[in-house]
Amino acid sequence: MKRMLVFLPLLMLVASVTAQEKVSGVVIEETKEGRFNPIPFANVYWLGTQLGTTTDTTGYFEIDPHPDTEKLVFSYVGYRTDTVKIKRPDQLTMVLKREQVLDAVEVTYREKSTEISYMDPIKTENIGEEELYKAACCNLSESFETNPSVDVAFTDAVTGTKQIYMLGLDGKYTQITREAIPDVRGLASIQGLTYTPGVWIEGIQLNKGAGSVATGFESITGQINVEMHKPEMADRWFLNGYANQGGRTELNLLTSHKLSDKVSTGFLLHGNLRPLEVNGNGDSFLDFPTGHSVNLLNRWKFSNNKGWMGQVGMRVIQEERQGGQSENEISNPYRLGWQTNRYEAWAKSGYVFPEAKYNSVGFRGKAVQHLQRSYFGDQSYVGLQESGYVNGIFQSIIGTSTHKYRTGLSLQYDRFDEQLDSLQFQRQEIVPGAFVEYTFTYFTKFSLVAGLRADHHNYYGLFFTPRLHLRYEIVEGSVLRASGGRGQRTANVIAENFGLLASSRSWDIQGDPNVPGFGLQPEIAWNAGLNFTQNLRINYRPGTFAVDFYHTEFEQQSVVDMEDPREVAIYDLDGRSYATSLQVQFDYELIRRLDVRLAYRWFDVMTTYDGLLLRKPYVAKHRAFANLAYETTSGWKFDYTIQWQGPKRIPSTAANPATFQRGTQSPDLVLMNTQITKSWKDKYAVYVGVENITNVQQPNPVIADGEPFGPFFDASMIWGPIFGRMAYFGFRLKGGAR
Amino acid sequence: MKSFIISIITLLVALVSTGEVQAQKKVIEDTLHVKGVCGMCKERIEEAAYGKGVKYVSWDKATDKLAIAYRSDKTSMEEVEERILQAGHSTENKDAKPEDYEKLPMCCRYQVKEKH
Repeated sequence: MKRMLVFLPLLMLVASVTAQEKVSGVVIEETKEGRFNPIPFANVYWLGTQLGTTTDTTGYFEIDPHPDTEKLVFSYVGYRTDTVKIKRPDQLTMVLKREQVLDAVEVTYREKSTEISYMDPIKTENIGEEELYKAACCNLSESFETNPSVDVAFTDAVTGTKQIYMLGLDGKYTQITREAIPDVRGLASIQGLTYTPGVWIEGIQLNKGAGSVATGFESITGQINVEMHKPEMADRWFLNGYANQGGRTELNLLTSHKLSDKVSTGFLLHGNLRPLEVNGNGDSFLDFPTGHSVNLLNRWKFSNNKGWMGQVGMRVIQEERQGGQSENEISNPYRLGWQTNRYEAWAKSGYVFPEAKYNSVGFRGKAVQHLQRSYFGDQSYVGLQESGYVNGIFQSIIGTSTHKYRTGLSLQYDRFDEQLDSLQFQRQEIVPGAFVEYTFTYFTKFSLVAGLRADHHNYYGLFFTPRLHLRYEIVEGSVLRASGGRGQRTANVIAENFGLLASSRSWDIQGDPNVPGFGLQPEIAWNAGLNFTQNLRINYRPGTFAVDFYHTEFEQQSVVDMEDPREVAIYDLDGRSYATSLQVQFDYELIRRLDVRLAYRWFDVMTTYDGLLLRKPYVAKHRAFANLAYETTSGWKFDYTIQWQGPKRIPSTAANPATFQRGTQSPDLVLMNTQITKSWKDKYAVYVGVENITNVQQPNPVIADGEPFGPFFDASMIWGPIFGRMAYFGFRLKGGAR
Repeated sequence: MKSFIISIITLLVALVSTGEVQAQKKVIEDTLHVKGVCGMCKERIEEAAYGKGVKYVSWDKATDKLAIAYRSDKTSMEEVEERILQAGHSTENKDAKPEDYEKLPMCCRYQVKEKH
């Protein structure tokens, strides 16, 4: 119980009651201008009981006292839930705070850098800035190094690109949104992760399994939502610099400007430079390409302070990379490179009805143009994507806020034009859709979210996306959740397997020539999950124990078959394909200020390749993870992560000559990272760290590296780290606090 | 692999059982009213209260109440209170010395500041 109190930020309150009399009072909100408005229809109930009421239109409530508890809970959509111990016989005035007003939140407990939500019907891990700072390098693909739910691995030995995995499946099956608008998708589904610099991120919400239908039908294994620093952020500017021993240099500058009480704007600037050619792993190829990228974002926020809010923004990304064999060392080198130009513009608007705060409408729209030109030796690949997305959502309640619903319309437009050597692939997808989502909340005990989408695809016709989430509090501190749902997406088979271009494999895309694009069926999968979270207090210190179990079953899939070392075959699934995962995680404050996170994961990921059900390559069946984070009162932070990955299956190389054959299974790996940060008054910080401390590397990652234009060259068969130990340092400066 | 799982389980059992064993020793839960006005006071008070034998501290700004759990064989409420007084915060029993109060940052001067 004490835990509950500790966890809920306590705000201004004056509590009241005598045991026999009715408890009465008003629930109000404080506006930004300091006025107090009553909150009608707020929930008021005795903690852990079913005895409750709601406030009337003036915010007034009366409730009978409860014999077992003195703790009264106040909750309302969009406001922070608060619990108050009723002791003194006074009239009660409860001030609820808006959830969005971040700078007003007072932290009354030592904030955990990653928290698993307790009340949310959808199990959500909230990854805060502090957690992202633990592994300071560098972008979204690397933000999950200290998180056991997401895996990060190299796509190939030469492009330096990393991709994420969730529930044992590639990141393309995870829907990545930025502030609830679909972001990393289409041609950007792998490299798009590198376009979100880590220090731009204010927080990440991660949920496994079926997500909400409100953001679309594409998520299969989970949803990752990224919140960027807002124009109204607490500091006027934020500067970050980073450099590592490989010459990778990054600079980030974030600024925010409040032009009036109605208009604010923010700039996020990022530059990356890799000037040095580094070859430390003993083959003839550079470990990562040289080059640079620039990433600029500007957005404007408007509010009339009467319930209307608006936002417009734009972003420009330019990236240029060259790698492969060094021109200085080899006379006829194998070179590779790419140039990417990406432009984004978006607008958002929302209105909360002042007379009925439970009603709101929202609108979001986004346009993207993405052009990538690349070459790998003699091969060239050019891809263009033009996308548009609009969605409108109306949110309200049925009677009381026990029954909430939202409903909306959306339109997704994508035009793709891709060319791989002489092969051309074009398609234009138009998908209008509608959804409705109902949320039922029975105090803290039980909640349900049921959603249904209907979308019409111009090639694949009408399809339905049902999703369901249940949450049940067995006893206080123990929560059981279940989820299930369907996801559908169109594969972008070349862009999603970008790393395979760094090989002499021929591409065999076995699509139906009458279907536009690749001629493949859409990928359709059902996901079901069960998870249990237990909050603990052992020896007066808090901890969490969580077990997750998820199963994904593909109905249709664009299978990427690498079993023949001469080619990559891509075809519609014929047979079974599934992924089952189990994760056990334990978080505990072992001694004061020392947080320990232990996790074990088991994956069973199988796909039918040409009639044979085989384990998915490069996915370890067993993984274990431990993270230790220690913080002193004087501003020092020490962070250490160790992970163990079991053996992974390597696709067959039996058809190669003996010298170019590889084993069928990788050895297991132990990887360690560490970082030390010193900060002063939360304003200035410097950090140094080492990735891959024990210098573990995959030996000879490039097959036939001496004959890159020959038939056996392959830089895509990667199961371990490409570069060895890597030391880095950096700094963060913040200033101009409001 | 098996040995890894076993060692993890052993560690978990060890953690839980240390908790239980220690809980059997005389851990006393108590409260104390401590004067403070802001979030920084909370940090100061909790930091001062924490020390040898102290298992848990949490100060509530709204009620001025400091909840504390400590091992009576290792420390006493008086010792904890003395540290809080030295940090400049008065308690229900005793006022902080003026020279200690003077050391408080401006935002924590509870004699002149409202709760904020």
